[in-house]
Amino acid sequence: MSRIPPWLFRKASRRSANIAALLPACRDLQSAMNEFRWLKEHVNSTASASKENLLSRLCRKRGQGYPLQYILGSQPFGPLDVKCRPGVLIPRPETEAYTYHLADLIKTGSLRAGEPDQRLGVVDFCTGTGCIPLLFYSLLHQKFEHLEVVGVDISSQAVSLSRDNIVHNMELGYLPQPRRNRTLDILQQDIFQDKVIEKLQGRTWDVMVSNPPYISRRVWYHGGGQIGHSVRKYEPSLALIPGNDISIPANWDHEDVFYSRLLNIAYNLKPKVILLEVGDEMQALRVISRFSQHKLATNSHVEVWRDWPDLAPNHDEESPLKITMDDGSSQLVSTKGSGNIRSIFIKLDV
Amino acid sequence: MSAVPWICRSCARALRRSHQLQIVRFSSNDASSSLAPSLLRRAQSLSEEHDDLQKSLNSSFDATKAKRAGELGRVASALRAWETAQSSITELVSMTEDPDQDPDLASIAKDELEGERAKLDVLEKRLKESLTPRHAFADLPCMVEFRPGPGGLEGRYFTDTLFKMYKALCARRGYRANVLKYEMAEAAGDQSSSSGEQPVQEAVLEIQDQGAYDIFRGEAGMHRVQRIPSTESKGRVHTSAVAVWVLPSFPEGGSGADNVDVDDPESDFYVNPQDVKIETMRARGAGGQHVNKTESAIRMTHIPTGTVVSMQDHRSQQRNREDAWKVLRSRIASQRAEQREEEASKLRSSVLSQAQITRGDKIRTYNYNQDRCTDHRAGMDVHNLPDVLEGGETLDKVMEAAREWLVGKEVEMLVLEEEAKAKK
Repeated sequence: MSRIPPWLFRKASRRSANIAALLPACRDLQSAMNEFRWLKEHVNSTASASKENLLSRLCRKRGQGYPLQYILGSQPFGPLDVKCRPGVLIPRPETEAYTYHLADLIKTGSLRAGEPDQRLGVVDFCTGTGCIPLLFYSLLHQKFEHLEVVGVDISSQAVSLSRDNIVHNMELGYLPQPRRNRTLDILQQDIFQDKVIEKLQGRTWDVMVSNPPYISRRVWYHGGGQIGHSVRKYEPSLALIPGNDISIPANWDHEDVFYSRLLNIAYNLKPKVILLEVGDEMQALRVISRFSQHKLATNSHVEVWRDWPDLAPNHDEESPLKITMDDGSSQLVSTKGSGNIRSIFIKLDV
Repeated sequence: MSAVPWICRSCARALRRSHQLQIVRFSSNDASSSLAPSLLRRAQSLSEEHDDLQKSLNSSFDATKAKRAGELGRVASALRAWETAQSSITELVSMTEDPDQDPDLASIAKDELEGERAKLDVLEKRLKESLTPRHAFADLPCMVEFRPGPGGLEGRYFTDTLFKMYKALCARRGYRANVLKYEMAEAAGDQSSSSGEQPVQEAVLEIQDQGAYDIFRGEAGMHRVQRIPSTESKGRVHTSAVAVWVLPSFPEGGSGADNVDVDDPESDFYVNPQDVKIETMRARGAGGQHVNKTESAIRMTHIPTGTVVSMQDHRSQQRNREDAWKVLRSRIASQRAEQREEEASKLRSSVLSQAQITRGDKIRTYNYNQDRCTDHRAGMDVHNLPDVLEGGETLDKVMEAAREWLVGKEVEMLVLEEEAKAKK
C-alpha cells in the first residue's frame, strides 16, 4: 500500500482537522469527505450534547482504522438497513452485487430454479449479519408463493445479530412479515457437523449460497499488502480464515477447506444452483479444478463472476479462465461482469 | 377599459392589498391587451366541437370522445363565462350611455360596470390559459438541479441558499421532496460561510408530487445574487449566478400518470441500458473480505448523448445506482423534449422563436443590500428577501408571477400561430 503524500495531509487539514484525521483510513480526499458527512449526519441524529467533541473523537477513531460501519452501527444492503456490530463481518458491496444479480436471474426465470410463482428454497451458509438471506427474502417474496429462506452460522453473536436484523428491517417496513408458506430463519449450526445436513435434508433447496472464510493463513499473518489493516485488526478472524482445528481433506489447501465441505453438503442437499464467494482468481481456479473431480460435477455448468456481474466487462476482462486439472488436461470457464474474480456460479443437472 | 389602465389597475390592486405590508411593483413590460380575435375564433371553434361531442356522447358513449370532451370542457366553460360577462357589459354600457335613462339608475349601472370589467379581465385570462395546450410533462413530478455558475466559493454558497429555499418551500406547501444529490465542492471541505451555507457543487432535489413539473418549470434559468460575500474583506458587492434546471421525473411505480412508462421505447424516459456505461470505483488490489471499502461512488455515461451522471451521496452503491438512473432518465427526457421544441420553433417564424427562453437567460436577481428579489421576465419586484429565501409566501408571489408570465408567453405564441394559420 502506498504512502499517503504529505501534501494530501496538508490539503486535508487546511479544510478541517477532522478530515485530516480520517485520511489515514480513507486514503483519498473524496472518500474522507464522504465519510465525514456520514459521520456528521450520524452524530447530528443521535447525540444531544457536545456534538463537536463526539464528532472529532469518532473521526480520530475511524482514522485509526476502526470500521465506519461499526461506528454507525449499520450498512445499507440493497433496500435493507443491516445492523453491524463488532464480532460479525461487515457486509461487502461485492456480496450485495452478486446477490442482486442472482436474485435477478431467478426472478426472470432464466435459471429454472424454482418453478415460476411457486416455491423456492434458499440456504446461505456462513451468513454473518444475515445480509444474503435477508436480501433474497426481500427481493423474491413477491415472485414466489412459497418461499423458504434459511441462513446458517456457527457464531452465536452472528445468529443473534442476524435475528435482530430480521426484526429491525421488518419494523422499518423493508421486509414483509412472514406468513404461512413464507419463512425466513437463521440456524446456529456448525457446518462441519453432519447435524446441519440432517436439519436441512428433506426440504427442497433450489439455491445454495455461501460467503465462507477464505483468507489464507499466509495473507492473514504476513499480509503482503493484500489485507486491509482495519479488517485484520477489527473484524472477526472466525469469519475470515478457516480455523486451525478443521481437518483438511487430501489435495485441498487450508484456505479452501470450507469449499470442500460445502460441495459435500451440496451433494446431500441437491440444490439446482450454487454460488460461492472466493478471494481471488487463484482460489477460483483451485476450487473449480477440485470441483470438476467431485461427484457433483457430472452434468454441471460452471461460470466465474467478477465483482460486478451485471456490468459490461472491460476489454481485458472478457477472456475465459483456463483451468488446469491435476491430470494435465485443461478446461475453459467463462467469466461474467467487470472487476476482480469474485464468485463461482455452478448450475447442477443441466 | 379606462384610458390609463396601468395606473388604475395598480392603484386598485394596492388598495385591495392594503392590509399587507408587502410592496409589489410590476414594471410595465407586460401590458396585457384584450383578447385577440384569432384566439376568440379558436375558442369558439373548440367550444363548438365540445358541444357537438357532448351531443354525440349523450346518445352513445365513447371513451376517446369523452376524453377529448373533457379536455375541451375547460375552454367551453371559460368561453361561456366570458361571453356572459361581455354581454352584461354591453348592456350596462348601453344603459349608461342612454340619455333617456334615469340618472340614479345610470350611476348604479356605472358602478356595476366597473365591477364587471374587473371580472372580465380575470375571465379573459382564464380563457387564454384554457386555450394554451398543457405542457406534455405538466402532470409529472420533477427534479430541480442546482449548479453554481463560474465565480468560486460565493456562487457555491448561494447555490446552497437556493437549494434550501426550495426545500423549505416544499416543506411549507407539504410537497414530498427528496434530496437525491447534495455534493460539496472538492476544494472546500467542511468549510461553511458565516451564515451556515455549504459550498455546494451540485444538488438535485426531487419533488415527487404529481404536477410538480408544472409548478416549478417557471423557475428554470440563471438566478443571480448580488451581495457582499462573507469571504469579501473590503465590503464590495459581488454578483454571481446559480443555474437552476427543472427536469421532468417519472412517478414511482407508474401510479397515476398512464402516459409514462420507463420501459416503453416510445417514451421520453426510455433509456436503452446498452447505451449506458456504468463505472464503479476501480478495484485496486484485493477485494471481498480482504478489505472494507466504504466508497460507493458510481458514474453513468449515456454514450449517444454524452450525458454523465455521477452519484456518491449514499453509503449503498445500489441506492446510488438507482438514483443515478433516475437523474439520467430525467436529463435525457428533458433533452428530448427540448430538441422537439427547438425543431417546432424552427418551423415557426423567427418572431416566434424569440419568445423561447434559453438556458443562459438570467431570470431572477436576489439583491441582499436592497432587500429585493426581482423576476426579470415578469418584471416583478418584491421586498422582504429573508422571507423569499425561507421559501415563504413572498416566494409564492414571485413564482406565481413567473408562471403567469410563462403562460402569457405561451398565449402570445398561440396568437401568432393562429394568425399565421389564418393568413395561409
